[in-house]
Amino acid sequence: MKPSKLSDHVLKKGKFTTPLNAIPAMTELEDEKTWTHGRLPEYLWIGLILKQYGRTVGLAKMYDIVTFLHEIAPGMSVPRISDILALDSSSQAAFYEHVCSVVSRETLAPMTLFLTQSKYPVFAQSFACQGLSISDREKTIINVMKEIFGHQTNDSTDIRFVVLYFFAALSGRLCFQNREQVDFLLEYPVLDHSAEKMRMFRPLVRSAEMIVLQSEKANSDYLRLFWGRLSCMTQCSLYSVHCPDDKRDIDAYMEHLHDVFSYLSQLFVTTSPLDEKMNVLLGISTYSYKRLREVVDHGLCNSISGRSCMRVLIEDYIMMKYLIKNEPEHPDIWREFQFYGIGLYKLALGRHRERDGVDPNCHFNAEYIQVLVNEFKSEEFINMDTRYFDQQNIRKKAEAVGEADLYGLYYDYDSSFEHGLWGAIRESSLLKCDNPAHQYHCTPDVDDRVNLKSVLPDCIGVMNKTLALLNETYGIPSALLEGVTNYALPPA
Amino acid sequence: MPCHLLEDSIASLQREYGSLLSALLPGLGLQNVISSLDEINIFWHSNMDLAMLYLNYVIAHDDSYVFTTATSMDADEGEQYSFMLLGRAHILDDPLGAYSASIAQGIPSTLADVLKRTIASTAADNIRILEECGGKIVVLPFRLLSHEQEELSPALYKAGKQAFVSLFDDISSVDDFFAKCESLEDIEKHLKHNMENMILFTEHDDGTEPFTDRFRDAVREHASMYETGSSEAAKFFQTVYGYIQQSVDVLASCLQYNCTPHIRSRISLLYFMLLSESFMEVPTVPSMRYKACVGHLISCLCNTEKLSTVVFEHYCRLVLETKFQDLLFSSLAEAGITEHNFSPNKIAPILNKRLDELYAAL
Repeated sequence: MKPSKLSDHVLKKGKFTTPLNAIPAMTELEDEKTWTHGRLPEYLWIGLILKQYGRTVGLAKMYDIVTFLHEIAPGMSVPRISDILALDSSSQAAFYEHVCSVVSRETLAPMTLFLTQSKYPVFAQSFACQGLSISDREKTIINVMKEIFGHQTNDSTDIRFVVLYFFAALSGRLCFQNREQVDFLLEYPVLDHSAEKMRMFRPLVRSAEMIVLQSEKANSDYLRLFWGRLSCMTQCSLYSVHCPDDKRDIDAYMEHLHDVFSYLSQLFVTTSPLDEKMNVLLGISTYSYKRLREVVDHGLCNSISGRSCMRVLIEDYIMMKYLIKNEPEHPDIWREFQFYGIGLYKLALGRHRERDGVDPNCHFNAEYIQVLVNEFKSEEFINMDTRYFDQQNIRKKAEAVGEADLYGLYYDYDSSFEHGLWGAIRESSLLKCDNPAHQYHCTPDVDDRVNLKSVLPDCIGVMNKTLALLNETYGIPSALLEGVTNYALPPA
Repeated sequence: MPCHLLEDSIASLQREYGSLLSALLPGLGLQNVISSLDEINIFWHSNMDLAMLYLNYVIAHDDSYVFTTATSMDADEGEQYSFMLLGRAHILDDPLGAYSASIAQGIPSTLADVLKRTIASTAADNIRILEECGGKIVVLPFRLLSHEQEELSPALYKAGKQAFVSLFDDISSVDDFFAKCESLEDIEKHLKHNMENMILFTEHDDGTEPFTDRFRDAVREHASMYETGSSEAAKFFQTVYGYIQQSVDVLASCLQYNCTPHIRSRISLLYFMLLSESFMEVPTVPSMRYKACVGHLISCLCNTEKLSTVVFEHYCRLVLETKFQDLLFSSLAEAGITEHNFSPNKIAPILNKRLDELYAAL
C-alpha cells in the first residue's frame, strides 16, 4: 500500500488528518482487539500446530481438531484458548486428549510455559513433556510469534482462516450471501499461497475475520497472563540502528571556510566597521560557522546535537535572506533585529533578578548578560517582544524567501530533535527489542548505541548557500570561494 | 547585481588618494614637503589594512604584476601601456610613502632639492595614472607595506645587510665593514674573488671597465646623492647597499603577495636577479625571475608610442582579446625557453615578433 500524499490529508487548524481517519465514525481498534496484542495470544496454539506440520497437513489437522472442539463446545463461537481453558475440566481433558491424538504432545507443550499447573492444571498435565527444556519451549514460541506477529502475513492469515472457518462454517455465526463466498472457504486450505486466487482470498479472510471482533469480548486476564509471563521469562533482544560514524576528513573544507570568514571579518573591520547590516549578516553567519565548527571538532555528525546545529544553520540562512529581502520595508531592520534579540535577553535577565534563590552556579551569567543588554542602549529603553521577529514564524519567513523546501524537508524534522518531540526521541534515544514476547517494545538507549545518519553533507550544503548569499552581498574573492564551493566531500 | 565590497572599497581608496595628491601637489616641491609627505604616510598607514587585504585576497590569487623600483610610472612615455602586456592584475608601487621615511631619517642637503622635485613629479604622475588608468592599475605603496609590518621590517633590513656583507670574505657586519674599510682599495682588498666584476653602480655600467673607474664615474654622476666629505666606503655602501636593500624588499613583497615585479631599470633588475638566484628552491621564484626578465625586456623593446595611439581602456581589452601574454609564452616555450634556461638574448627576438603582431592588430 502506497503512503497517502500530504495533499490527500485534510488540513484543518494546523492539523493534518489522514484520509482514513477523516472518514466519519472511523475509530482505531482497542489494544485488546488488535491482532498482535489481543488475538495472537488466543490463537497461538493454532500457529504452533501449523508450524509443526506445515500448512497443508496442519490445516487438515486443524479441521479435525476444531470440528471436535465444536462438537464438545457447540456454544463456542471462536477457538480462543482462553475460552477452551474456561471449559470444564472433563471437556478440557477430552479436547486435549483428542488434540494429542491428532498432533504430537510436544506441539502444544511450549504453551505450558505460561499455562502452568497451579492455574491451568488440565492443560499443564495434558501437555507436559519432560524432555522439553524451558529454553526449547521458549524458542519455539518466539519463532512462531515472529512469523505471526504481523496481522497480514501468510501464516497469520492461515490462523485467521481457521478462526473464520470455526466462526462461520462450524458455529454458523456468519451467513454468506452467495455461493462464491462459501466456495472460498473450501478452496482456501487446498490452494497454495502462490496461487493467483489467493491474492483475493487472503484479504477476504482477514476482513471477514474482523467481523468476529464485533461479537467477542477480549479476555483481559488471559492476555495479562500471557504477556506478563512471556515478557518476564524472556530477555530483551535489543538492536540499534547504527549508521556508520562519519569520520570523513573535511579539514580542507574547514580551512577554506575559515579563510573565507577570516577574509570577511577583515573586510568588515577594514571597510565597514560600523555598518549595522554587515555586522548582523556576518554575526549570524559566523554563528553558523561556529556551530558547524563544533559539529566537526567534536565529532557530532551522527549525534542529536548535530541535528540541532543543522537546524540553526537553516534558520540562520533563512533569517539572513529574510532580513535582506525585507530591508526596504523597514526603517532599520538591522537594529530592529539586534534589539529584538537583546530584548529577549533582557526578559531572561529580569526573571533572574525578580526570582529569589537562583543558584549562583547556574549557567546564566547575570552580570555579563546585564552588560550585554545595556551595551549600546540603556535597558530602560529596550522593549521586549515575545512574538516572532517581525511577527512571522520561520515557516512563513522560509516561504517568503523561497526556501519552503529547506524548511519542509529538513528544518521541521530537526525541530523535533531541538524540542525533544517523540519522533526524535524514538529515533535517537530508544532501542528496539526484537523479542515478540515483549511486543517489540523499545528500551532507553542508555549506552549510546544509536548512531544517527550524518548531518555533514547537509551542513556543508546549507553553509555553502550561506556563503553564496554573502558573496552576492559583499563579494568574496573567487580563489577563496572556490576553495569552499568546489570542495568535494569524500565518499562516506 | 553581485556586490564586490573589497574591489569597491579599493576603487574608493584610489579616488581618495587621487584627491589627496591633487590637494597636496602644489606644496610638494616647496618647504612644506615634509608635512605633505607625512599626510601621505598617514593616509597609507590608516588604510594599510585595506591595502593588505586587497593584496592578500585579490593580488595574491591572480596573475599579478607590480611596477616597482621606479620613482614613478611615466604616463607621458606611455609606460602604463607596456606594463599592461603581461598579467591580469596590476599594481603601481607608489614610492611617496617611502620618501617620507627617507626624509624623516634625514637626507643630505644636496639631495633635498632633487628629492623635492622627484616627489612632486612622482605625485603628478600618480595623479595621472589614477585618473587615466583607474580600475586597471591600482596605486599602492607596495614595498612600504612590508616595512609597515612590525614583525617583518627588522628581518628585511637584516637580510639586506646580510646580503651586503656576503660580498666580502672577512667582514662580519656593516659595522665591521666601516671599521675595516675607508678607501676603495680597502674595499677591493676584502671583496670576494671576482666579486668586483659582478658589482654594478649605474644603469649603463656593464662591468667590463675596471672596478675603480666604474665606481669613481658613478660617484661623479650622482655626486648630489652623497654627503659632502663622506668616505669612499660610505659612498660604496650607500650605492650598493641601496640596490641590495631594494631587491630584498621587492623579492620579499613579491613572495608575500605572490606577484611578479615589473622592473624597468636595468641595474635594479640585475641586483634582483642576483639576489633571487639564492632563493631558487622557493617554488615561485624561478617563474618570478623569468617573468620579471620578460617584463623588463618589454619595457626596453616595446614601442609605447605605437601602443598609446589607442585609448587605454580599449587597449587593455585588446591585449586580453589578442591573448598577447599567452601567445608570447607559448612561443617562448616552443623555442625551448624555460624559467631555468632563459636569457635576454633568447627572449628578445621572439618578443619583438609578438610585439610587431600586436602593433599590427591595433
